[in-house]
Amino acid sequence: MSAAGGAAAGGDTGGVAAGGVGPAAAPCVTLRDLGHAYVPGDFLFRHLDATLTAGRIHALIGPSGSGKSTLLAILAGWLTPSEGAVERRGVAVMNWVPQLPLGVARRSVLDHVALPMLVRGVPRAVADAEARRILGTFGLSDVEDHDYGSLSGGEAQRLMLARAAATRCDLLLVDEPTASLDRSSARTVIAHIRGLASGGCVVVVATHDLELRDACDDVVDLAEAQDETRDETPREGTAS
Amino acid sequence: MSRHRDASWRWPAVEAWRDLRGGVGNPALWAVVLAAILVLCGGADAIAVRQLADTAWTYRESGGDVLTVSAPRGIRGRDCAALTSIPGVDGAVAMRGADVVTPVALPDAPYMAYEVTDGVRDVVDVDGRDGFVIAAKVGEQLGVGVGDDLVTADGARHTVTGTFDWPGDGRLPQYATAVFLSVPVSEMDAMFDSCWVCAWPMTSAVRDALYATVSESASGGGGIAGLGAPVPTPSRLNPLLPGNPPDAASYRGRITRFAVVPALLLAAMAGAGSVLQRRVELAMLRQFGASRPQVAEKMLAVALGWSLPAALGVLGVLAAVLAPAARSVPDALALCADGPLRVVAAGLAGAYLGVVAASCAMSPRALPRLVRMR
Repeated sequence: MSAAGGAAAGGDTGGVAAGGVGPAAAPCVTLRDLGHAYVPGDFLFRHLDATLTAGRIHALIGPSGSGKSTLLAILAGWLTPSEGAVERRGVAVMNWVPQLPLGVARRSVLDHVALPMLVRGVPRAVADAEARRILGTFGLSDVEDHDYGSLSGGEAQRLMLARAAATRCDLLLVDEPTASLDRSSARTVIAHIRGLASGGCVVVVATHDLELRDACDDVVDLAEAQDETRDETPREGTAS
Repeated sequence: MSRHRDASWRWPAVEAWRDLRGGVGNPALWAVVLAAILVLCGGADAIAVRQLADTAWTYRESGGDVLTVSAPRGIRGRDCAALTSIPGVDGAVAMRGADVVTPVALPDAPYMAYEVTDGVRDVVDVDGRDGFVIAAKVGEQLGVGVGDDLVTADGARHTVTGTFDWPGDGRLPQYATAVFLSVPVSEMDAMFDSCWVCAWPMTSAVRDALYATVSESASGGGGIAGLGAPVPTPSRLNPLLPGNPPDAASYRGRITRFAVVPALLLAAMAGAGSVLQRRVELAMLRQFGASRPQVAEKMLAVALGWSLPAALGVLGVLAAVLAPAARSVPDALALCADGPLRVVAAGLAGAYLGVVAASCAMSPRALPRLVRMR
């Protein structure tokens, strides 16, 4: 009934990687008859079934208030669903990228990307070198020594994704990454998300952005799950 | 990339240093907040101690540290002088009336004279030495000072060996124009009229010992009610002073002694506040895999950076407030150790407790809610 998963998957320590080598199985998250209600009987969504696999971007769509952020919190392991279960296989490290970029204004871009590696015990010099490589991939090499507070919205969002890449996560949850970006920046972010997925992690993106939705491999539509709640007919969530 | 666990223990402290260097989390602000708390709490106590010390010193300066007992020819000189062996006694002198001193310059204005045992300079704060000691007013009237000769009407020439001030602050007025004549050692076993003892604090032991200098015959003269001389009892040199001077009990009983409690509590709130203002960042750090102890270690290191300078600054300020109350370096160190140091230590402990408690409460589960609040 409750969300099951691998060690430390979405748990209190979130992004702790287990050991020096990634999990043997490709990451995969399965939702079985999932439903959640903050108020008993008043379900945000219900009877949600989906399989989220590595290497693919899964879009989470639905009207405002349909429970996208709630579902992300359930996938992260921070919230126990009212019904159903979440099964995680091969997910040792989870990373959540919020809608608003969260950085430390007076720390450098390089420091932000190096931090997850430092927490894992990587020596500073090694972490900095890898961080520079990642920043290059995300087109942020020119600002690596700039303070976070000086970045534009698009740069900050790319930095959050770059930091997610540094965590070497198996499950990446991204909440509205293009919400406050112009189209050009949004397309850049979409491309980077594609790059992260191709790195072998499960990517789930909650979004209202039609272009981002169309760029995703699968769509989980919570509006349909809400409809299911009203007529009580169980139906598998769209995941193809 | 391989994992390097041996480097994992260093990152909290290094990150803390980088935060402090960059001003992350407003360390200067929290230093000021902590300093304000410590100055408020420690300052209140320092001022209270200063007032007690100043009051005590004024009391002493007004003759509050001198007790006398009178019994005409009822006090043996040697017994009175022996009071100096009691801890806390600065001086003791036996005194008896002598023939007046009539200066040849003012034959119509003789001065009261008293024969005293050695040590009057330790009781009356003489500028000079025992021998022929005159009140400062006498010196002013006759135009003589220490080292000068005073010729009396009988032709004798006396070298003034010392002078003493006698402020009109309430102390017994008859000594304002007195002359103290030291008697030779051979007179120590003679009987005197009064015994004066200078001690601080004036304990009951000193008071009892002073009373014991009165011979039995002199102390038992008032046995029958309404008949005979009154029983001699110790009395203050300055009868206008209040009966209970500031003492160790006043010091220990001061209400500001408990300033350590608000210092600890308020500093704990400040320490927690310094962490909570960074809760989103720290929740994200937890998401990256940092453990609660690691987060606490980092924030504790940051707190050390802003709290220690604040504490040192406050100690300096409070020491400056207390310094005039101290009469010696050991005095000053004792005052600082018992007052400001306790408050500052309590404040630092509180700040660190607040930092650790708030740091351990950081959880990545709170991220969605924290982000919504922003």
